[in-house]
Amino acid sequence: MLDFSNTGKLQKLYARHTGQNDMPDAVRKQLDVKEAYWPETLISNAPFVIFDTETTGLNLEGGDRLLSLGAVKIIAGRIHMGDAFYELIDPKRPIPTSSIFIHGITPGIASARPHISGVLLRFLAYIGSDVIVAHHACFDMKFLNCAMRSCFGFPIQNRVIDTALAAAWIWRMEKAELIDETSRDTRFDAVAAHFGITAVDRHTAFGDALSTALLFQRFINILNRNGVKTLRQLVRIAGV
Amino acid sequence: MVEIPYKKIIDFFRGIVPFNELPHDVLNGLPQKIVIDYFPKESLILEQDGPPCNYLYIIETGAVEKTVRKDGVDILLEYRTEGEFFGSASLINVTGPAFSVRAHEDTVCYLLPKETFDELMQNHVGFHEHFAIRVSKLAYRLRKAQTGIFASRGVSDTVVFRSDGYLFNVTAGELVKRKPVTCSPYHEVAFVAKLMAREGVGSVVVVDVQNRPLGIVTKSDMTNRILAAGKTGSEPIRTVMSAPVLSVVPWEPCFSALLKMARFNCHHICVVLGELLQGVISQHDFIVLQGSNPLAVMNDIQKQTTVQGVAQLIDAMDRTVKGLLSSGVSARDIATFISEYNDRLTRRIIALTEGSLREEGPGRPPVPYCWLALGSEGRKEQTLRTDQDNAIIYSDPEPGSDQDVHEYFLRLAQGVVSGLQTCGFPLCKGGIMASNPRWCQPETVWRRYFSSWINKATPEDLRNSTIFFDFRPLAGASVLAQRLRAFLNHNIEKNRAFLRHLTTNALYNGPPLGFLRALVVEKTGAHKNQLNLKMSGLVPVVDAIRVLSLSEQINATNTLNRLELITRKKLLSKDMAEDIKEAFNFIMLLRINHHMTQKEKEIEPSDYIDPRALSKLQERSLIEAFHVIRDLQGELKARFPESI
Repeated sequence: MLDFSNTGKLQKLYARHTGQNDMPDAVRKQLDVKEAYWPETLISNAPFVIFDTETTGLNLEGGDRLLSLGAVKIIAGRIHMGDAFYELIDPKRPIPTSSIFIHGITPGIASARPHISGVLLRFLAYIGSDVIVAHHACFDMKFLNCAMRSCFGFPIQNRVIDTALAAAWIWRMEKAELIDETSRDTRFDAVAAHFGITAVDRHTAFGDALSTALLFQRFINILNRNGVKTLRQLVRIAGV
Repeated sequence: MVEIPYKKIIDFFRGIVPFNELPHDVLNGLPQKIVIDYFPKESLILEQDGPPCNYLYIIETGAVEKTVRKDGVDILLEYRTEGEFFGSASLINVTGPAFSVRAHEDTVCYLLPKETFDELMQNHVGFHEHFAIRVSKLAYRLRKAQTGIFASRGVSDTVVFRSDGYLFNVTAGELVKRKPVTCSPYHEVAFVAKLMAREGVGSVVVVDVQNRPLGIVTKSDMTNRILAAGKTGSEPIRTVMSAPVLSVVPWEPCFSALLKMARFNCHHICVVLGELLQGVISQHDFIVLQGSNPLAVMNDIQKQTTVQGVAQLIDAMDRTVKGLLSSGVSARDIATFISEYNDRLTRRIIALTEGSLREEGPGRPPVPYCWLALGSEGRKEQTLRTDQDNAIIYSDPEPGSDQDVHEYFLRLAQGVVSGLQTCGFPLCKGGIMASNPRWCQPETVWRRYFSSWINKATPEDLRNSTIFFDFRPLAGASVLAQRLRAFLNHNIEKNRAFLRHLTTNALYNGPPLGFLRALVVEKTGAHKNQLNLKMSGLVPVVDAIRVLSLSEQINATNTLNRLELITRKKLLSKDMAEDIKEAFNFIMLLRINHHMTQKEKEIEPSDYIDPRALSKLQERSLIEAFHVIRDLQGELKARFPESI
């Protein structure tokens, strides 16, 4: 029987890519993500996974890969520290010396770590069907999805929210800038500083994920106050 | 999985008593238990008598305020800030919180679940002890608050939550809630109207390219100056804006902003740093902050069309003043506020009386005149509705019309004085009122009075000087008052011997200090064992400062303002001026409090207090204050030695 549903499509992609029909449970979870997404969920109640990645460099096409993945959960506005995620990844390629100064992950540390597919499985199990959130999420998603495709044949199915977009929206909302609308700095440090977050452990995937979570926690509040109450509305203003 | 880098959180806990005593492995396990929550400013975190806490709240950033509600009034217990916690009593006793906790600013808390907390309490003695003691201390504070030791200053029907000292502790900058909505002076009215609608604001500040405020446009300007004036939406905004704008710097207390708005009768004030606009405060912000708008009554005064109407506002004014008092205000601020009230009220009554004279026949004032406030009113140091002290000065009339002009102003004065009486200002027992023909006079006569007092300096002349030389224009042509002040300065300069006489007079009342720093009280009579705060504390300061300021041609009348100017002219050292200021403030405040209590007990207010009824701290401060006053008198004596 032909299956044209999304689930079927993903199964086909997986089978074609891996040559196997049996999916690991974590990957199978991805099949239900789109179904499980309920746009009218209130953002003040919804579970979110806030994550960040470190990479060997900025150039995916030039062979840069993921080095680490950190994440925390926000449920009903609260960050649950007990349910956190942090993995270092063996990129299976040399780590440029210049980038080591940023993330502090040396080839020695990384090579003792699991390969990307194992980490992804754990990450997929961790995020389940929650909406995932990152700052400048496009960048992280590019690397994540590249890894997803190479491991499982299809990209991450979860809805993605970009806190940089949310910040820009809030600024537009709260400011009457008649003069200069163009040059707002949405880099993480600038945004964090503006909303009164002191970022700790910058440039470790976990530290940045936690800082982003603290930021997003405030956004939930501000957005609620400005009428953005449901996931549907949130995705419209800050979805990727 | 890699170990999660919880180091920052562990370090945070390690810096907090009693978590610092926990063994390493226990401490290292804490981060996994906690939940991080965020509370925006002013949100309620725990509610008094609400459900029991499920967490110990540890403040990571921000601050919270604990309040307990008693008789419908929220009393501030304490603030808790970074590294401190709350919720322990409720956790331990499994009862609803005994107080409410509210975010004083945007606050992030680490929440330690009840199970984890219970585990720590059970297994770690130091931890347990700390919280046990803490809870009993808290119970003590709560008892105190409920038995009224803390509440003594808080109970008043105008005091609502958060009014506690807010007008004085919150700066203008902190009151600014959002970036100001601005436009250029060349924008069209229609554009600005749309901007208001889009932003949901009641005012737009007109700024130049450098963001310096030029003017302000409010919603009512839109109706009054555009629609009502028949203008169209294409009008440039600069033609309808109000300019210039009032401004305060961000670190001024919002009370100053409030006073400025009161003085200029504006609803908005700009917060400006350097020349650049930081934000806008409106009277509405005070309603939000205070729960009531202290200016509302003032604005109502303006709207009254009869003396009775004005008189009906008295109660509301008293309530507001009481509210201010219980919010821990300095005496000077209260006096300034009361003066502003009384000035407005008097001005309104003068305007109403002038109006009725116009209707009844005598017509308009035949020559320019100025209503003078004298004595404590002239010094802006009124704290209660004290006896009236006022006078009228008018331009010298054309020869021949003297009698008619005098009669007109006498009629005006009689109207105003009786109006003020209706509003609760008793008549002056010494007859120092504008309705007394002697004190309702043209310029020439006033000059004659003044120069005669200065030259002869009889005891009565000196007494008059202490009242009249503190004059201040309250309504009408203030130039008359200014000319009189210049005349006075000039005359004193010509006759400095007068200052010696005035000094002798000023030293007549002295602080009641005996041997060994004890307070001296009345030995007999109705006020046995009491001392007079006004005569032995305030009057000596006021008198001494008056002499010093007259000797330097200082035009100010307010004692503290005079003090400042005197210090600037190096007549007194900075330290001494600071001490005098504090002493004066302290005695003032003591007196105001005393009056308020008497008023509540419906006793005729008097200036006599029994020092034994004071707290130890108050008594010590009072003795200290009297010593400062004695030093001031010594200084004065040295400067103007008695004439032999």
